[in-house]
Amino acid sequence: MSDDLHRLSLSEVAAAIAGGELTSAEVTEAAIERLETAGPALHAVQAMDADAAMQAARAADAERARGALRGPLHGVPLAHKDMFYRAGRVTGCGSRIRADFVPETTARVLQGLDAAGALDIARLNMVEFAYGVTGHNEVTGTPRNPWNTDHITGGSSSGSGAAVAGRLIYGALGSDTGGSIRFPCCCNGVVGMKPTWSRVSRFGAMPLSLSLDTIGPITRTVRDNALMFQAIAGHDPRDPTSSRRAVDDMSKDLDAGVKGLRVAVPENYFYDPVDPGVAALVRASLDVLADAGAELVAVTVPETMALANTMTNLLTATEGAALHQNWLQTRFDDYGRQTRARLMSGLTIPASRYLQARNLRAPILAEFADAVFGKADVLHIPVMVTGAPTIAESDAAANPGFMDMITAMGHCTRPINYLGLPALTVPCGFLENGLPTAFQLVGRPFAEAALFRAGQAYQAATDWHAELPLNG
Amino acid sequence: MADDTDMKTWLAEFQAVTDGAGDADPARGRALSALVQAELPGLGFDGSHEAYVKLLDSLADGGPADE
Repeated sequence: MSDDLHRLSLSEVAAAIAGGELTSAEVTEAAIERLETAGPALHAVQAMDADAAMQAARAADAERARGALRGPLHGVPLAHKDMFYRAGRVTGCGSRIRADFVPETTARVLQGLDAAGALDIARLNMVEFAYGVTGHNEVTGTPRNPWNTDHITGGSSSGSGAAVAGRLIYGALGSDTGGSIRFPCCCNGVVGMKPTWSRVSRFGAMPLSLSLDTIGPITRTVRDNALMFQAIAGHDPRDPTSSRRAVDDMSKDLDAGVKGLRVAVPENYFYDPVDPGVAALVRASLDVLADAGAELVAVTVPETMALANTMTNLLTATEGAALHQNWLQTRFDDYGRQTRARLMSGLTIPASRYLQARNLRAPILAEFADAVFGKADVLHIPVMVTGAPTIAESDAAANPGFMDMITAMGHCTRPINYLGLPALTVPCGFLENGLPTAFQLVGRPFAEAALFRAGQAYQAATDWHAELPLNG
Repeated sequence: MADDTDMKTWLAEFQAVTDGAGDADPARGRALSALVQAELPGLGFDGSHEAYVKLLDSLADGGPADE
């Protein structure tokens, strides 16, 4: 069994440690070996402290021996996007500017996972300051897709997607401002939850856009994702935008199925630019849900979806520029060129446009909710309009159509950030080139449990999530 | 912006800025302008983060939660 520990799911490992069939030390040692041997080819890992990880694992085993399980993730090794502060440890943010930054506080999401018993054994590579969709990082290096290392991982949670898909680690946190959890999940064939804006505290997380930033888990299965999400969701007074709404029990109805669930299928906008190969796989996933008892409902989404895409760009650029303005002046040469150019574009956006984008959020959300959730419980849409391109063809310097490409990549993701709604990405098959793709389920505000239930029903009927990548 | 020519130039630049920040589609900028005009009566809405959290809560299944 020890040779295959890395192939177990997070839920399986957590249950085995809790039940005494495996020790945290065994699992963590295997994860460290995996990160050291298979990790370099994917360039997913920024830093790891193996000694500290083993010390924490042995402490977890000692606690268990005393009958003191901390929580449902007791002793499970995880690793996260390098943008979540932990007091006394470097948080590099995929950058040269923050390469030596040692925070004095710990992010609320890490505190939540600590309280659930998880171990935090490595920092994972990411797009510089989380501002990019392809995964390219000219400062700390570009992670590689475990299904084909010539291709991108998607960004900005690039290392998280590659590490989880490559069976280097059981689960990882990512962040999503315009698609940064969903792109890596789609490109790498793993599951990601972009939660309702305000559901997960951003305290202690590197900010990019306060209006849009969300934090969520990236895992191999929906069940794993629900387990991690439970540990990080909830009110936090240190994040003034944090919702006070009670958090649902994500496991309660996880296996209840989708009989009677109304799934909205858009007749406009979302499929407009989607490649036929991607569209075929995404539509095939609808058949699986229908066979499981879901009711498919055709809906027309408001024309403002295109504007929502535009305004997500506008809000991110403006708020990102405001955060980075000082460094843009004092550390100009320390930025990667792509990150710097995109941040600087935000300096030119008029304040009036920014305020319009903020104020129009409410009427556009109300219009969307009426059109979609007036008829259905969840919306089913693609994540990406194409398969993952190669690293070479999606390089900003080599591709004159780069801006068009990244705009198209966000066609189905950015509007959801603007609306603030939760979205679960679920892999649904492989394209002709052997790379995975995925669909996303979008729910009402705070309907994460319903999305997990639907995603679980899909994975119970399919086995895409069990496929192994190269050297997996 | 002393005369109409300057104003037209400024407006053209303004439009280009908005388009550049968005989908690089001039129609998007025009559509945004039209939408803003249509929504003018409602633009007194409180666009703060706190107001948006409350709006999300009001649209959740079952309506707003007790605090």
